[in-house]
Amino acid sequence: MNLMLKLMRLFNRTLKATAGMCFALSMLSVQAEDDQLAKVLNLSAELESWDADFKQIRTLKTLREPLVAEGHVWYQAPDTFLWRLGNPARTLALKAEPDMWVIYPRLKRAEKYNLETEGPWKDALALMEAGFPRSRERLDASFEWSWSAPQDQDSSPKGSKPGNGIAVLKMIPKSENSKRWIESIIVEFDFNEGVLAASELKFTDGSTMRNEFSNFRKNPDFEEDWFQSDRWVLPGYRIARP
Amino acid sequence: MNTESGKHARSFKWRWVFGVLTGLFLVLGWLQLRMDANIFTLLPGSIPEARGLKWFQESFADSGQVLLTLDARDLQEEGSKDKLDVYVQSLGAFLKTKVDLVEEVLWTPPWQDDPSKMTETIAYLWFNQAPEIFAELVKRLSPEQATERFELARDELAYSFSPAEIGRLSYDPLGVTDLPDIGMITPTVAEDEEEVSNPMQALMSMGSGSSGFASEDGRFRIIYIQPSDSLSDYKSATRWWADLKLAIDDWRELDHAQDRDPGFEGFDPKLGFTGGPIFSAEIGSAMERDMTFSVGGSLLFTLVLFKLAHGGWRPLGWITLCMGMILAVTLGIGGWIWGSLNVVSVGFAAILLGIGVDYALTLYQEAKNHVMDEGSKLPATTPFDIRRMVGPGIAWAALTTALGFFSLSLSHFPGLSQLGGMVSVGILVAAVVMIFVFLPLAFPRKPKRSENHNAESDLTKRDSLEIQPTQIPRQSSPIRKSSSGLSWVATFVVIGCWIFLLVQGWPRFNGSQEPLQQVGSEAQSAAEGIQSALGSAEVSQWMVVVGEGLAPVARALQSVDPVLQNLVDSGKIASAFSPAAWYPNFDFQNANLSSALQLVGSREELRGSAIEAGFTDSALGLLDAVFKTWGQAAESIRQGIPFQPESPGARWVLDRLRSASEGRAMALGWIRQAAPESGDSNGLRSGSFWTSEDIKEIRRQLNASIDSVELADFGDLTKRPQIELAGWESLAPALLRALESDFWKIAVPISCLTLPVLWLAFRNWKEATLSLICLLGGWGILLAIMSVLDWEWNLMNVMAAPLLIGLGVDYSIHIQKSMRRNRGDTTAVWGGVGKALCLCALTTAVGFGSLSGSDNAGMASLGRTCAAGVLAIALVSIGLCPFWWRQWVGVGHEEKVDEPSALYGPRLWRMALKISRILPYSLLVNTARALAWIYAQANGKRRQILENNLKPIEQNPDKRRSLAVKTFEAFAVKLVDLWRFEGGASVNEQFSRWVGWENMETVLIEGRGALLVTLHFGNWEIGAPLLTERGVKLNIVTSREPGAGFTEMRESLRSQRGVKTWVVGDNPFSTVPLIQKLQEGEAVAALLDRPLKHAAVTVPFLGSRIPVSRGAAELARASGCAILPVAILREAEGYCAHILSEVDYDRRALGRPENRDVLTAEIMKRFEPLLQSHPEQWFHFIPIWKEGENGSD
Repeated sequence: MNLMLKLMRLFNRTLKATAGMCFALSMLSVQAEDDQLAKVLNLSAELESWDADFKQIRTLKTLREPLVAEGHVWYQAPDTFLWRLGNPARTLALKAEPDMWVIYPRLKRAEKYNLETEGPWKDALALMEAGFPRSRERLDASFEWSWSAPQDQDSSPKGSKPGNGIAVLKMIPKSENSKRWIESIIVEFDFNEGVLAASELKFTDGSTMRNEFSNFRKNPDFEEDWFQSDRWVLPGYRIARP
Repeated sequence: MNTESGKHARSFKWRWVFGVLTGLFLVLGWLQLRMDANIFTLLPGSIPEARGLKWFQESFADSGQVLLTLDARDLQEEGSKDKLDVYVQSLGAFLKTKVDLVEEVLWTPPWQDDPSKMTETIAYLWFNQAPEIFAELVKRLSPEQATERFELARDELAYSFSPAEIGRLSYDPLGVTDLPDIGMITPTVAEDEEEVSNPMQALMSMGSGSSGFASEDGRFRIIYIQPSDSLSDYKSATRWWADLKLAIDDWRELDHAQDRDPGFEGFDPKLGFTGGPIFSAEIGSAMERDMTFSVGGSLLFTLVLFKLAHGGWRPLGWITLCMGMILAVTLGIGGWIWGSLNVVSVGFAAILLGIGVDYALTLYQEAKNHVMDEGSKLPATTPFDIRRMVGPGIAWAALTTALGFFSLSLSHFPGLSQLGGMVSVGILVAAVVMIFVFLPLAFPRKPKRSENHNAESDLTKRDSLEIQPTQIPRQSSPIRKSSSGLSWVATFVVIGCWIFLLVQGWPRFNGSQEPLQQVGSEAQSAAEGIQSALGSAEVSQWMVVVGEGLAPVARALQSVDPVLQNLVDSGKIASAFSPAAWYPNFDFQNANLSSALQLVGSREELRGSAIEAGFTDSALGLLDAVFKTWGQAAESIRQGIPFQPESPGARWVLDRLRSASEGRAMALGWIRQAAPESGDSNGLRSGSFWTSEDIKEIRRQLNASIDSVELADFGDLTKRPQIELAGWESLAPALLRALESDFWKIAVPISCLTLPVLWLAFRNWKEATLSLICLLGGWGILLAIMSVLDWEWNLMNVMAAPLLIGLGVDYSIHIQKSMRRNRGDTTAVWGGVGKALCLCALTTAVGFGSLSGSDNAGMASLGRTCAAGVLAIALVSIGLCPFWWRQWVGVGHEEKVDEPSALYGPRLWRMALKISRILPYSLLVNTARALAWIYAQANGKRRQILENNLKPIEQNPDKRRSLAVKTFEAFAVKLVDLWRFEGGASVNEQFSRWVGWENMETVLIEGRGALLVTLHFGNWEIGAPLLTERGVKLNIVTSREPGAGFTEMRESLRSQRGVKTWVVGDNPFSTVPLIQKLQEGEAVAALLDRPLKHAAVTVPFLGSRIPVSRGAAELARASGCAILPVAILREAEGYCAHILSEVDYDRRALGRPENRDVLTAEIMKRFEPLLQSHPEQWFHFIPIWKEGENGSD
């Protein structure tokens, strides 16, 4: 129980870390002294939208085996995304300001969160904004960060290795509050392909949540109503406002 | 000599005993006196809204905790939230090390670092549910359902996006945290929406998150500090606060975040302090300052003023000493009566000084006018004489002013009520101290000079000057043209003020509760900061449920819940929180016990199912903790005590929802109404749309739900629990209602008191009206000043109205009385009483004005308004009233002291007759004696007349005064006897013996007519039935009595006893029937010492000269009757009828007027021995001696 809340928030941050990273890629526009950071900023400037398949691996301390699920993610700059978990979809997560929707098609049920009010989703986004600053100064203020090799090369996509076009950005939060539940955030970039390779949140209790991306498409065109809630929340769904 | 010495010694001894006992009484009073720094004691407890708010603040709002606020909202720099996190963490950790200062420091919710601390709360919440709800949990946790629930949880963990869901299912796969309703009452959802009850989330945010420790943006934080000491008084709270600030300074120097990280350079959030101890420290210190500075300031100003006006250091010293004594005695008495001073009543001291010193000034001024000219040949006047002259006036003024202030005691507002009480007590103390202590100290009795050197002669001269109207200059001095013109201008200015008000409008009224708050209060500012940073955009009312124990309150809460849901569904309230689920419910817990223990027994079976579903042991950590708590609960239930969790997390929440003290149990909930976008004020605070009627109706419905429960269901109680709604929003209109009620309750008695006082003071409608006009004039100026300076009326200063009426009337009474005494001589009035009143008004204004610096906004406004009002009324009363008096009332209304008392009239006589028939004799006599004593003390002028009349009999002034008082008492007893007699009682009950009956018998045997002459001596009236019972045909000669029908009434009463009354007047033939009666051998009784003017002759008597009637000599000449001096005197064994020997005369010689005068003198001389032996029964209350001849010269 002592980690229940941590997990509750950490999962949210893991989820948001990926989307937030993409957000940073698209938004970062300041000059960076670090070459690799400059590459990230350049990369983000080129991406208006993207989508990819992903495999989500949840390693929880209360379970003996990791939980693995597959899905797809769609992203539209500056901060709109749709995550689909399971195929056919078991769960959808749609962020379209100012709301965050979590939809359960099998249960014909949807939860609507208002990001403008206090709550776990709001907390998560706030943390992500701090984690992916728009400036070097802001990054420095919030994180101890460094570029390093992937800790587990086997789990990297396509078996990527340092110097093989894969760069790993490791961030450790400075805030005492964040440190309580996040040990580190790891984001892996494939500079050869110019894509996001993976993201991982490591929690202080040892649990992890890792997303590995594949079939990355740059700047695809999405249907106009792709990120509209009406498209996914079908008539007859029960809507909850937690 | 020995007897006198013994008496003196006994008196001295008793004075010491009295002094010691008084001192002891005062010291005990001081010891009981406390400074009550609780601002909520200012709220009227009789108003439900205020009562609820007081309960809420005193029982739930962490009255013992200090809230340290850190505000970084104004710091625009990047990452200020994170920096504030670090800042708070560092400061909180540092303070935690200060164990001598703090017991506990919290900057995050107690369960945030370790949410497992909430497991006890979760277990408690389930255990405290109704049995049917607890049964659902039992079913969910049963081994039969557990396997399926584990599988489902694992599947959801893989696919859920909800962070809350993942977190919860990881550690609670069986859904123990799927709590039942924990009190949040929201509208029933629409059909197409699902109600997602998230009690766990609500639980986690309870008292935390944005609502307890931080604002939504995280840039405002609160650190809760529990002091290591109880800080029971404001002094210890002040010291503790100073130490806390020093500790924070130490932290800044030693362990500041700036030293660790350059990123914190210049990051300096604003610190604030609030909470019960801080309010206590601030308010208590402010009270002390008010006491010190306002009292000290006004005393200093008063003394300077006195010095400038009168000079002399010695009287200054005595005034200071006396003022100190007045304050000390008042505080001592206040300690016994009230026990504590609050932030408003502490202002009594300044007001008291302002008013109390008036008495000293008046005494001093009057005394100075009579004795200060040392160079003159006038002898020194003793304190006794000055006291006799001025004391009664001061006593009456003190009594009326005290009554005015005492009327404030009727107020709903405890502060004002206590202020009124303290000042009224203090004023009475001030009058006594000034009259009996200051006067002898400032004007010590001169050495024997006056006693050795024809003392009585000197004194008599002075007394004559004082009491004889003829000695006062009769010619009024003309008002100079220039001052007359100025007075006209000033009159028009006063009228102009009223016109200005009618055109410009009245000063506004501010009905908010702001006047009850401290000005510039750091604690208030920090509390407002919390409200602005953390406060909800919704309007809330706290719901306080109060009962006589845990069980009745729990039962009441059960009945309230459905009503709350109905109110929410009907839209009358937006949402509500009921503490029913939290409040310890022994009945429910006892019913759930066996099921809970059954579940605890199935723990191993549940573990097997978890392992099988892929979970580890840690997934059952929560369940284990819940089972452990239920085990502890079982122990408590077996002892018959409802289980209550003790973990810090649970206590944090529960301490905010339930309270118990002094046999009273309370539970706290709230109701909430979303505020409209644009507020339309409708009685409540702007922005609110609940009317006070709405709130009243909600309160009614909630209480009705409790009333519907059978009283027996609450156990052995005499009354049901009750619900109060409280909130600052609804307080203001409630206070206004109370104020309105207060105003009528106070203004009406004040007006009712004022009008009779004015009438009693003047007995003249013109002068009474002029007093009211002066009051109106002063009010006009005050209101105009307020309007120009944009001062507002508010909850506190509106009470200036009755005070100013009470104080203001005094000035015009003094001035008009002085105008009478001085025959309209304005120069004399302004030079004497006017000057003294100016000083009085200034000192009173300074007393009130010194409060304008008070830290309490209401006291400051009250002081300011009263100061301006006193000056305005004084300006009109002292400056203009003499002018108006001359214009309208005019000379000729001098005080009349040579007429019988106004109490002597038919109406009161009839009433007295009725009362004397009803009440027992001893009660009547004792009451009459007491009233006579009070009358003698209060009516100095009447007593002075009597003393003057007694001078030939008693030369010693002190003994004469005592004799005068005894005479009043004897007269009261005489009246009682007379009323009883006229009311039908037998005269023989009181009669003891005849002395000299043989003198009467001789005359009767001879068949001559008997002229029985007497004086206003003894109870002459009851002699009549004694004679008629012995066969004497008696006629009584009398003058016409005052008042319509009074003469006829008394005549009728006498005739019932067989006595014929003859009323004589100016008609020269009115004595003819009497002559006939005497010639027929009947008896005629007449009083000699109250002659009609045309029948008066001045004869020697008791060494002086007295005008008496020559009627006896005239009747003797005309009828040849026997003249018998008689007197009916009250002695130890009863009334004794004295018939003195016949006065011989030569009937023929009486043809010459001078011989008739000699006979009259001879008759009077016969009375002298009796008068010398019974002086207390000589009842003359109007001046009797020929003007200027009262026996001494």
